[in-house]
Amino acid sequence: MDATQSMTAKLSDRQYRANKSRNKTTIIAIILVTVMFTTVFTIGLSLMDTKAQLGAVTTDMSSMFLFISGIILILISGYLIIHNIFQISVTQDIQFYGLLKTLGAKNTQIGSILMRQAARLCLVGIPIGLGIGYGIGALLLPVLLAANSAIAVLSVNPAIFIGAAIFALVTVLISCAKPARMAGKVSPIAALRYIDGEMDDKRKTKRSKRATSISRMAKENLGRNKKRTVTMVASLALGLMLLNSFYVMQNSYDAEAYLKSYCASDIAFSDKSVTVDLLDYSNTNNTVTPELMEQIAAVPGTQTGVAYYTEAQADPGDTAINNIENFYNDEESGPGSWLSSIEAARTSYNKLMQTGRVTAGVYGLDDIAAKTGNVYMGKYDAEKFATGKYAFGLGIADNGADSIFYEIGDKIEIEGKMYEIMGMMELPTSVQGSLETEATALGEKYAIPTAAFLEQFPNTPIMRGFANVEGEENKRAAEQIVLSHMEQDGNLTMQTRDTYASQFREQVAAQVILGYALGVIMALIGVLNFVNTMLTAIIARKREFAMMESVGMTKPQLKQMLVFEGIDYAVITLVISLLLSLFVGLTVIQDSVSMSWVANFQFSLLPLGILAPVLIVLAVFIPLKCFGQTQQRSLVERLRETG
Amino acid sequence: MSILQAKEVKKHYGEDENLVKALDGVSITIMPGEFVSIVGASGSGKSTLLHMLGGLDNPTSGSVEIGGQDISQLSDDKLTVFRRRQIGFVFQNYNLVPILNVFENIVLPVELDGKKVERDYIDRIISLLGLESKLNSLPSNLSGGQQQRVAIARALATKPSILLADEPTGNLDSHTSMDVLNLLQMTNRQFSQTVVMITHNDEIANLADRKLHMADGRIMQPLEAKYCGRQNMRMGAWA
Repeated sequence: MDATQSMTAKLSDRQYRANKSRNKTTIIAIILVTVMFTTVFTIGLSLMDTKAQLGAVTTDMSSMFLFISGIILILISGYLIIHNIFQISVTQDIQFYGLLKTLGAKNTQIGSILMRQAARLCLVGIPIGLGIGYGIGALLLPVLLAANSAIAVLSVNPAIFIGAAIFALVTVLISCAKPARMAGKVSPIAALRYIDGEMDDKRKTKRSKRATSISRMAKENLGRNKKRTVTMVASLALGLMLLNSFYVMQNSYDAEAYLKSYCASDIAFSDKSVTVDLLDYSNTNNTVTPELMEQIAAVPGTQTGVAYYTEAQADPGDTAINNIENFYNDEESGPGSWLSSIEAARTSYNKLMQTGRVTAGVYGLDDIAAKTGNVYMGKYDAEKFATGKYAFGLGIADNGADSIFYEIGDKIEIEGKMYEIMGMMELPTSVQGSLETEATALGEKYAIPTAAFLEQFPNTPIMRGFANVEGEENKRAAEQIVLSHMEQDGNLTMQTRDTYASQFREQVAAQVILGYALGVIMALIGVLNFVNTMLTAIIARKREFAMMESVGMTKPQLKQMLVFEGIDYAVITLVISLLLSLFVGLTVIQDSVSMSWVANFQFSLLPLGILAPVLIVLAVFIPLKCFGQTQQRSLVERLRETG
Repeated sequence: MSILQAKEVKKHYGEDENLVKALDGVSITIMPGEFVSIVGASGSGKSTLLHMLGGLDNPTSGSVEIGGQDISQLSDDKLTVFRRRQIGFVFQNYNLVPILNVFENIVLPVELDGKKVERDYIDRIISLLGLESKLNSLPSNLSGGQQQRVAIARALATKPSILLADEPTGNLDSHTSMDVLNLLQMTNRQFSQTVVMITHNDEIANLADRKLHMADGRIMQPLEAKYCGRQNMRMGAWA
């Protein structure tokens, strides 16, 4: 190693050791940034591994977009704090750099002193951050995947660590490139004269004839270093905005809408083949037995209901046939591709067009089951329906014109018996099940009353049983009955409103947990940035404070001024966070929420509301604490101090 | 042949009604081996002149030549290298690097230049300045006089052709001040070092070969200034 290098190395090393508390702050910042990168990488790669286990290797665009915007957000928030820390440390050491310059250090030599320190801080911070981040990723992964049937695979891909480390390193390098250049460019003469350098105000004069007040002084102080004020406010506001936005997202998910659509009763039970995806319902298993229904009906405060299902040949009538023909020939909406890609659908379609008959799904519903339906055309008249002369067409409520297959009063025929269409309804999943079979590929489904159903299709077993039970105890008792039957028959399965609700909460948590985690870390970074900025500003202004004291400003007045400064920061931060949250909430979040049918966009500022007092308290407490630390020595000593 | 020459150097700050003429057309010529002191009231422009002479700051107009090289023509980095080879600085507040010990402080400019430290030469300076026993001390453990000795040693370490001292005794008591001044005189003789020193202490200024008075950003003519030269004064210097 030649002498120059050893000298910059030595200076860098000594300076590193001389600034223990500053190093701690920087290392914490580097750790937090690395933690965020590692968490995102761990989860991203683990999700890919989990998908690969399911046989799906495609990464969809939206998750790629989320991944990239997450990385960019982390880069920004990392830059905001690390850049700020280095900027401040260069300002603090400006006399040191100026002196080196006077003694003949070149720009690059001074820059490398700073870069070496940055590298050394990374060497400490990044490994710790990688460890913590991987741990957080491992903890979050099961929550993220809770709603999926997939078993979470925690990736051990070295790319996680390499990628996260590279990104963290890049963030640090970008962040200290400018401060390093600034340190190198220091004019020696400016450095020799430099006092407290807390000014980037370009104004030459200040018009004011009013006597100043403490609160106005505080405002002026905020404007002294606008860049620093901006980075500090931005880094806090970013975290707060993220927390608020994900809360809005979580808040917008509507459990009631979900339950209404998935679970129409307190308890529902059926053969497993009805609920498990991709399995066809086998109605030869006599899973839901009449005994089971009787036992449950015997529980006090209980109303039970049943649904039957079978497939049957039907004539859907001319209106429906015309609608089906138009629907599948509509090139623009593209359902034609369904016909060309699914053979069963094509066969059914051709058969319908040639013979006017189709294989339909037929549900037998009692009054309780029928009332769970969302009637979107016509009206459910229980008495008329019970006569067995009427049928409901089943469809999906919110598909607009494509939901309407029939007109009220249409005549259809199921296995030789005529029915009149009373209307159309959508059944909740807990009643309808996931019965997409090849035979009913065109999706023709009807609901008729149980009596009529059993008359036409005698000996069909019950597909599903439901029970609405009043009182917690009775509910437990009813559940217990189903559970005891489940022990005897492995094909029996039960869903309760509670399991659906908790399943929903898990799904929602999966959507927002990563956002919350990043938001919390970014908010922490913001607070760290606030503490660091406030502390260094107060240390840098020690002499100025001593000077103010010497001309008659009392300590309580100085403290009051600092508290005003802190509160001003907090208020600016809150206003910016509010504007950011409004903007992001009403654009990105509303867009993403509106795509989900279980969500009902509900804007909220609750997290900001909760965090506002916390921020104000911190804004008062931190400056006072920092100020206390600088006041240990006498006024004269502090006045004399040069740097 | 002069070693240091300033021609019509002006330094103005601010504009219009705020215009401050820190230097208002200063021309001086300094010969090799000369010991020149500059005196003047606070605000007379003497520090600004020293900064210009040392290439720490750029003049608004005029030129500064060191050994025939116009330093305003040099780029920032070239000027830095030029400065560390040609000029040593001594400041009123010593400006030692607090994180380096005495020896490291002394050899810092040499190492920054990427040169090998000449132990013989450095040892000579160290013993001349009486710092042998303090080499491992950190600056904060030294007295003001000791710190200034280290600063002088550091200024001499690269064997610069010119030593610029800005109120080197400003923070020292009168006894220590004389010590430091004797050391400057000694190096001036022993290493044929050109020394330019700023002071507001007339007694100290009188020890120089030549004394220049500054007021309002200008050098006063020798005849109008109180003249107090020494016998070995080189009359040709400002001819």
